Formats: sequence, C-alpha cells, structure tokens
Amino acid sequence: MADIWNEEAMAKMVREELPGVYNLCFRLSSNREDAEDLSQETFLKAIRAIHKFKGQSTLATWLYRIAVNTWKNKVRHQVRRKFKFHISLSGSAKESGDGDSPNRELNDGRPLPLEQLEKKEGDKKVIAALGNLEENEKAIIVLKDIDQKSYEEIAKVLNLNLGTVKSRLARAREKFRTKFALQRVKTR
Amino acid sequence: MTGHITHLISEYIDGALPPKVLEKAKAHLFFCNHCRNMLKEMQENSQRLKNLAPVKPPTDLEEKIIRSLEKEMQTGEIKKNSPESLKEWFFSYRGLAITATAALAIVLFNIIPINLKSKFQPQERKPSLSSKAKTPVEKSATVSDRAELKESLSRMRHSKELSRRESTLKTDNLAMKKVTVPAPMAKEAAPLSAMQVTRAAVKGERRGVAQNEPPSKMNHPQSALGYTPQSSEPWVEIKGQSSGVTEPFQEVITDLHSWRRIWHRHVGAQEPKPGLPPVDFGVNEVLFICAGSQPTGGYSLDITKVENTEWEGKPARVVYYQIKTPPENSMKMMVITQPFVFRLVPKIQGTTFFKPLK
Repeated sequence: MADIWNEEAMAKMVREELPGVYNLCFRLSSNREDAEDLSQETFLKAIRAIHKFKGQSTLATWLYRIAVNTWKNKVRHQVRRKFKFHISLSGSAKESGDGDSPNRELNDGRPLPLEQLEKKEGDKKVIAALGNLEENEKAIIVLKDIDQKSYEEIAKVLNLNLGTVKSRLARAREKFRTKFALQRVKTR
Repeated sequence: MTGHITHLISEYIDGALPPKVLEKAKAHLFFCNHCRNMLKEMQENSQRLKNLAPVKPPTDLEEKIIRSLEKEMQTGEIKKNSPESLKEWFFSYRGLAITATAALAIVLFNIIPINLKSKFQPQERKPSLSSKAKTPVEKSATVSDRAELKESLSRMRHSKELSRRESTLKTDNLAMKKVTVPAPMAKEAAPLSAMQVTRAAVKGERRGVAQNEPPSKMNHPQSALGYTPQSSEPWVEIKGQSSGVTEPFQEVITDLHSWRRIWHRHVGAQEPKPGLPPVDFGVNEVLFICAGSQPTGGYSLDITKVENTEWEGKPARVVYYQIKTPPENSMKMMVITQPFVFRLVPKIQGTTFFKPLK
C-alpha cells in the first residue's frame, strides 16, 4: 500500500513540476535533448534524496537547485573532455525555433503571422546572447529574468547569500547587455 | 566612469534599492545620459528575457520519467519515506516544538470540558477534606452506622494520622487548584490552543509538512513534498477590478508552472499576497481574461458563454466574453482599473478561441 502511495506521489510531483524544471533545463542547456536528459536526471536525483528534503524551501526551489547543479556538473565534465555541452544557438536555428515557438501547432507548413516571425527572430538573438555567458551568469539570469524568481529564491537555488546574488546578477546583466548588443550587430 | 551608477542599475530595475540610495540614483539618472541609456537598455533586455515563451516538455517525457522512477523504486535504490525520516523529523528542533504544541493543545482540549462540567456539579468535582478522608471502612458503611461513623470521624480528626492525611490532601487540593481552569479562563484558553494548532499547521504548510496530521499522513511523500495548496478554498470563478496584468490578455492555463507565473503576475504588488487557488490540472484548466487598464471605475468583465465545438476535426472551445463599460454621464470612480476573470473549466485536448462580444 505504501509503495502504491509513494508511486502516486512521485507521479504527481513529476506531473506538476516537470514544466517548470524542463523550462529551466531548456534555457540552461539550450537544446531539447539535453533538457530532457537533465530533467530526467533531476527527478531521479530528487527522488533518491527525497528523505533529505527538509521543507526549508519549496519543492520547486529544491528541484531547481538540483537541476542547476546537475547542469553545472555536466558542463564542467564536458568542458574537461574538451567538448562543449551546450551548443551555440546562433548556429542551430532549428532547435531554438522549435523550442521557442509560442504556438507550435502552427508549425505545420502554414506561414506564421509577421509579428510571430519577428518575435521568433528577436528570441533567437536573446538566446544566442544568453548562450555566450558563463555558467554562473547564465544560471542567475535564467532564474531572475526568465523564471522571475525572487532574490531569496535564487539565493536558495544557487546556495549563495543575498549580497552575492545581487552583485552577480548585476555583473551578469551587464555582460548580457554587451553580448546582446554584439549579437544585434552581427545579424544586421 | 567615476560617479556613474552602473553598479546600481540591476537593483534599480528590480526595485530592490533602499529608499535613500534610490533617491540618489534617481537624481543621478535625471542628469546622466550615459546611465539613463544603460538603464533603458537593461530594462528592455530584462523584458525580452521575460517575454521568451515558456517551452513545454515533450508529451512523452512525463511518462518516460515516471517509468524510470518506478523502475528505480523496484530495484530498491530509492530510499522511501520510512520511519527513519519520520524519526529524524520527530527529533528535530521543529518537530519537537510542534509535537509539544500539539500535545499541549490536546491536554487543554481534554481538561477544559471536565472543568466546565465541574462548575455545574461542584459536589462531585471539588475535593473536600471530609470526602477525601473517608477510609475504606467508612465507604462500605450502611445508613444505620452513620452515627457511629460520625463519632469515629471526630475522634480521628484529632489523631495524628488524620493530620498527616489532611496535610497530604491540602497539597493535593492545591495541586488541583493549579490545574483547574476556571470557566472564564477556559473560554480564553480554547481559542488560544486552537490558534497554536493553526500556527503549527501554517508552519507545516510552509515547510511542506502538515504537522497536525497523524504520522501516517506526515509520512506521505505528497505532504512531505509541500503539496498542501496555499489556498484550499474550492472555486469556479474569480473576478475583480484590479490586476497586475495591465494589458488586454487572454490565456488558457494548462499546467501548474504557468498557473504560478500568471498568478504571480496578476497578484503583482498586492500585500498580503493571496494564495494560489488550487487547480487539479489533470482534469481542469483555467481561462484567464484581462481587459487591460481602464481609465475609471465602472468597467467589468464577464465570461458570458463557454461553448464546446469542433475545429479541423478536433475538439475546440469558444469563450465569449464581454467588457462592460460604465454608462455615459454616470458618476465614475477616478481610478485606474484592470477588470479580470479566472474561470475553471474542464480540460480539453484542443484549441480555445476567445471571442469578445460588444
């Protein structure tokens, strides 16, 4: 009985938290395959360590923390193997296009409205600029500006104090600004 | 760059600067073109990032993850929420505090009715020396023996043994007085203990464990994982005049993540922040329509009809809504409003169309 109960709870956790976790993983890793692997690994790690979850933060924050750490470990591992884990999206329009289409039902050959096309182009530049940031900078920007987390939540996810979150975010935003400006010049 | 406030711009965007620093920053921005341009650029960038559409996971991923978790469970690699974790929780600082509060609440709830009863039946409850001093012989005495018993009692009163008993009983009586809660106090004590229990429950909700539930439920991973909804009130429609969403907006919310995001946006700067209304996204979804900022009061937004239909061979839904404007030349509140409506509807696997009515 207890086992069935736990399985149900696990399924519910996956159902409710997967969209958020996947979105984060996609923004961090910048491609669908890696995002799927990361999401799966995040849930596996979470379930293995569920007895350590003390409820000091929300479950979503805890899962985000696991996801970010897993992603960082993977990136470092890949860098050590001299292979870049995340691919630059400026060169892979197909993947970013798939992921960022706000209405994928329309991707069946019919032309998209002009506004959507423009937004898609703009999104690509944003994602490309994001892909050129360091891991820590990227993580903090994704959490703050895309996921709209508060400073306190970011501090919990990244295991930093509030002051460090603020200063790191300021630096990351400044760097993003220059990278994005460069991206705009390149694609003109 | 000396004198510029580039290091403050990030916190300025988030509204996180302390008031004094904010004043200085505003004064600087008024005169400094460089910092003003940088602020504008960074604000636009933040907005661009915010506007990135959320990416939905592939439909089979959920199933894939659940399957892999079940597989892990079967191989026994996953440490289940067993008595060990319960024991850990029970002996933790919070666990002890909450258990003690709950125990106190139980004790208070049990004692109060007894003492209320004692007020109405004082003879039964109030211990008196004469009644307490009865020996087993006296208890079994018949009515005819009462005279003898009275005599023996009076004799016993002067004896040493009785004085010892009296002293013991006095102590007992004092002890009882300490425990006894008089009726007016009892009235106060009840809500106090209830409040303590509520606080314990609230704490439990925050840390993801419903502490006032029996251990079997605490052990349930679901409660341990913080699934207690922030607001448990059942609802079908929420509508009002004030929303953090200031532009016209229609959306079908199909998952918890989007629900949290939109609710967070809708609630905006409201304090205290209303809790997230519960939605079971397995069977339901939420329609959200916002009319955007309106110049005065008197505007309202209603969903007049939700019609299920078909579109390109698939189920579809048409949501008819109406923005009612205040009559001309009527008295209006001079306040900016943002009429909105949230409606809980059954889930469909198809497209939803929003159609405004005039």
